[in-house]
Amino acid sequence: MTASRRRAAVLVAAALTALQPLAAQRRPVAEHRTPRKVLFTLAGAAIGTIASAAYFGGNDDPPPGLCSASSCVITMSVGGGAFLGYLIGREFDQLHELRYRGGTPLDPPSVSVPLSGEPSVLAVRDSLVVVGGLGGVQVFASGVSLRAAGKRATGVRGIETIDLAPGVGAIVLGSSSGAYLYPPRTGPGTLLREGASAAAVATVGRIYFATHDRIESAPLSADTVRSWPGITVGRKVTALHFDEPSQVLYAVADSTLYAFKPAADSLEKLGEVAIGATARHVDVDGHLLAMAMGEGGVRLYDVSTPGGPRPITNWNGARFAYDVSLVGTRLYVAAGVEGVYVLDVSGTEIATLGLARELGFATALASRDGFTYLLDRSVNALRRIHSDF
Amino acid sequence: MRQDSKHPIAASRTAHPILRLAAAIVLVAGAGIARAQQSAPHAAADSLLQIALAHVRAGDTVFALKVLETAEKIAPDFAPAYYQRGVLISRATRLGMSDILRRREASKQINRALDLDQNNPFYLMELGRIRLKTPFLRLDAERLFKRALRAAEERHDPAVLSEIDWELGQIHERRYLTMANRRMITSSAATFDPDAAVNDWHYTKDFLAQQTQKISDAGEIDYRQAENFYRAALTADTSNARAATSLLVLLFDVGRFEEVAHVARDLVRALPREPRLRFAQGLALHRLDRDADASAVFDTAFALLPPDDRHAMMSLEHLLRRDDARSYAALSDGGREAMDSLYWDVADPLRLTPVNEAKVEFLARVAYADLRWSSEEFRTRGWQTDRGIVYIRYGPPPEVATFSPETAEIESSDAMGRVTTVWFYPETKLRFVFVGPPAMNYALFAGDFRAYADNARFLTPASFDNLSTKAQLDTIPVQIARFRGEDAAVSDVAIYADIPTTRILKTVDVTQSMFETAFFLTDGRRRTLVNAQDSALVRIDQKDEVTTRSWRRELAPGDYLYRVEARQPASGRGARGLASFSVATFPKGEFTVSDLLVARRLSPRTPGVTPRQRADFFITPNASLTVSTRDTVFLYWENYGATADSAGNAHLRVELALRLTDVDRGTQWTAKVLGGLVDAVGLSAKGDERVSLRFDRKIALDPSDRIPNYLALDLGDAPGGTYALELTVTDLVSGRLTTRSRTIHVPRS
Repeated sequence: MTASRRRAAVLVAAALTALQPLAAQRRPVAEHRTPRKVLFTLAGAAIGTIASAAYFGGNDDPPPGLCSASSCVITMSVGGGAFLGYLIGREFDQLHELRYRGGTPLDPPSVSVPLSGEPSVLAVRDSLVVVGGLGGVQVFASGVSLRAAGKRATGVRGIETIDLAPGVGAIVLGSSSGAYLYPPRTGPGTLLREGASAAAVATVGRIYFATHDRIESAPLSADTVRSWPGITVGRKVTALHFDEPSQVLYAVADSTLYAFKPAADSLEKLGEVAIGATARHVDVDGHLLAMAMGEGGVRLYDVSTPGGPRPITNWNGARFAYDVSLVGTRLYVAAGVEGVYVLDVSGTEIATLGLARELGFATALASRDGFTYLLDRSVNALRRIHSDF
Repeated sequence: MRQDSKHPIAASRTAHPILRLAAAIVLVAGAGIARAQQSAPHAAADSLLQIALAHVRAGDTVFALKVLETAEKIAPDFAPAYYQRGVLISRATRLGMSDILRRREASKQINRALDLDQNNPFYLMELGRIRLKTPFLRLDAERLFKRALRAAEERHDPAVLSEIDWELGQIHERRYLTMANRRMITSSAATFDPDAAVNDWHYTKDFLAQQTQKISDAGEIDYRQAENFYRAALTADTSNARAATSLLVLLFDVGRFEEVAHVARDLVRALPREPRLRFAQGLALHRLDRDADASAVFDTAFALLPPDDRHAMMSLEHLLRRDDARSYAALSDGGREAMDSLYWDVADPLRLTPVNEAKVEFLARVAYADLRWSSEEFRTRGWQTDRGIVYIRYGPPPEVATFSPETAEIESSDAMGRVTTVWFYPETKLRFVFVGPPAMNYALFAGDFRAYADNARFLTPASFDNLSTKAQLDTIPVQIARFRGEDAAVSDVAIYADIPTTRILKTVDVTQSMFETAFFLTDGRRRTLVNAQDSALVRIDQKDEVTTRSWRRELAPGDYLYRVEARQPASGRGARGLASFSVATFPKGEFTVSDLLVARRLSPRTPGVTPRQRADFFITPNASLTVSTRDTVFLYWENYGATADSAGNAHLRVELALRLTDVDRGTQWTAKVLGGLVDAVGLSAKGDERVSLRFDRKIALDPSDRIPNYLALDLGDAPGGTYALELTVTDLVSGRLTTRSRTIHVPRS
């Protein structure tokens, strides 16, 4: 073996050693990333070395020319390969930087199931997942995998909100034509309230839905269309969330967060707080309340006293927060085309654990029983990940 | 003129250039004295610069250039004069190689300015813009813009910083657009062949499906960089409308509709006079199925445009055949307005909805074309480009593919050095291929596709098939029957509609639903005469397949347009019947006949009493004019103006023929009169295609001068097809006759 070939072999070995961290990318939480411009430079140089070695290995007579000597050819091919590798690697690094903006890439394993139509809302209860959109509701059973379990509300257009009643699995949905209640498992829905309904939630025995500036309450056994008992807040209600443990209904109307408690068949206001902008979605876990504020990022409130939510902090790491889901001290943020941000909300400041961009164009989130579900618009799929991956 | 004389620059415009220049120098001299603290040549040059700029604003660039040249001579170290001269020369050039000498002169001027004021971000930015216009130097533009960016950052000038960020965003956006929807050819084919595509639609379908693979994330780096630069531009200067618009279109392109709607709302508040921001907002709302909001936003946006632009963009010429477009363009303003009103009224899927979805879709297409393909460099408006025109006519293409520039087959390929873009509409099999230089957001029809597009325009001038409401639209059969009114000057018009209730309701999974119906009537001047709407809660499992609705109006002679509509809000599914009809009078003294009213059932209200008018009958109209074989057709008509004999009786001869017009199977068939007219004498077949009956009636005339007639016709074994019912009534006293006809359909059994 000539000296140049030995050098080539060493370079190849070095390049292969350096490439090993690529395999480590599949770990759920990446801790360190070697710049690709380094890896690819080495790889390019190695390839150049191999190419030049192969060139001289099969040709004993040096061809004529200005750079036909082995030193020149090796230098040029190694240098050229390294430069090319550097350029490619730099592009990878640039893309990585643009995608994660200095954050940590996360790659939680997920299971997914394709969806039809253009679903935009999601709800989970027990082992049932419902997804609503333009052409109705798709139902999935969440077990070892996600399994299609039928369609409901076929033909109902403009579904803007959806929820499942605990235990029984009745579906409540709000659409541009009204609020509807669907019995568990099968059967057509009942129109409960005429007029656009942008927010609805279901709880044990009752459902709450918003029609413009009014929140109404109906029993799960309701089967007629009428105006139901409720409360008028004076501004268009865009989001509702019912916190089962505290039995508090949170509502967002315009730029105000309201807290209500059930009172007989209606509601009683506990308090309100100005939030400065319109929230898209609300989620509560324990004493924490999180709101997705679109361009305004995420806001976190302490709701130990439901009547007086106390602001804790804001987070603006995402371009646009579509939805949020709180699981203990973890907060998942559906950030649209960016993917899903995973945040730590155990302290007074929100810490970004990382960004799972492989989860696609995330537009809606919901967590239940150790799983977090999300809608991925990029491939039109429902995905599920472990909430504590 | 008086005003001009008070304005030295305006006045000088009419004089000889030398005199005007002299006048400018005199003015400058005065200004120079006033600015004693400045160096005299600089002060004079500065004043000349102001004069030059005023001339530019007035549209006189040639004189402005002369003034700037003088300013350079007066103060050779006055950088702004060189810069402005370079800008003026540069702005007059077009992208490409044709103006290369003028661009070189512009560069020379700006480089001189840069020598005098090194690192001036404006100068660097302008130099970058000149590079952008020269094909081989475009790559260098980015370097200059980045240098300008650093200079602007050092100077803390947010306005120029924002402009440079926008320019850099544009560079990356154009690169992204070049790479977006990129496909790799996986077969041995060198490139997509526009000639094969123009000749055979299968080629496009098969090539895309079988010989290509989509490259995921193609152009992502440039997309993200463009977004970053636009956001930086807006951070530096929140009033940078171009950056705001570019950001919104970029977000829209990858389906970030919620973001566009949200961001646009805030931007529109900050920049309320910017129509293109509202275009983007309207597009997002339209895409989010919020057409009522989108419609309001578009209305405001178009109202903010200069009138000429507004009229050109909203013109129906975009949607008409070439000849029709010429006729439309030749109309007066009033004529075009009337045509617009009629077109959009007919195109509106349902007037029951709060918006005209077809018009909103059209405005969204125009808005998108304007936002996406307008180019300052090429001085083009997006809606006038090849891609913009196709987009406005046929909507967003369901399949888009781009192919990298061809580098191998120099002789044959239209795509040599150019990016090929393919748009495919699988439903209609329409396909369009464009080619254009990379990273310029510019493309023209490839090969014979201009002629293909012309042909497509003739065959299908426009399509709104992508409207979701239209996809769920059924037809409501309507029968119009015109009778003489109580006042002979008007007609009593009855409108009967068979609303396909079951078809509308059955597709939605609810127990009960609101059900809306409406009748609209407009006259020839587009005035709404009737707007009758009602809604009711109905059970979905109702048995009646069809609900018959009727309306009755007394109308003066003229042309009318009716719309009968039904809609179920839960599913958005609806149905409509729409047509124009004319109303004429039934003049007194003339022997005339009303329309033939075809009914499912018809019987006198009071047996034994001679009916004198329509109200004396129970009538279940057959709006669909469809009758099954072996079914019975009931007919009703009225005669007016019959002449009485000496005993006060009218003598009429009625001849009714039923003729098969559409399908001729040569089958012998018969029909028979079941009753209704005691003096009917029979119905007999004559030949294979026609049955007819003839009978005479004697009726005692009363002062109302209205003779009601009715009969029931059993179709027997009539074969399926379209039939003409032809009625001829002869007044046997005066010898006058009158005719009417009606078409009915017999479905194949």
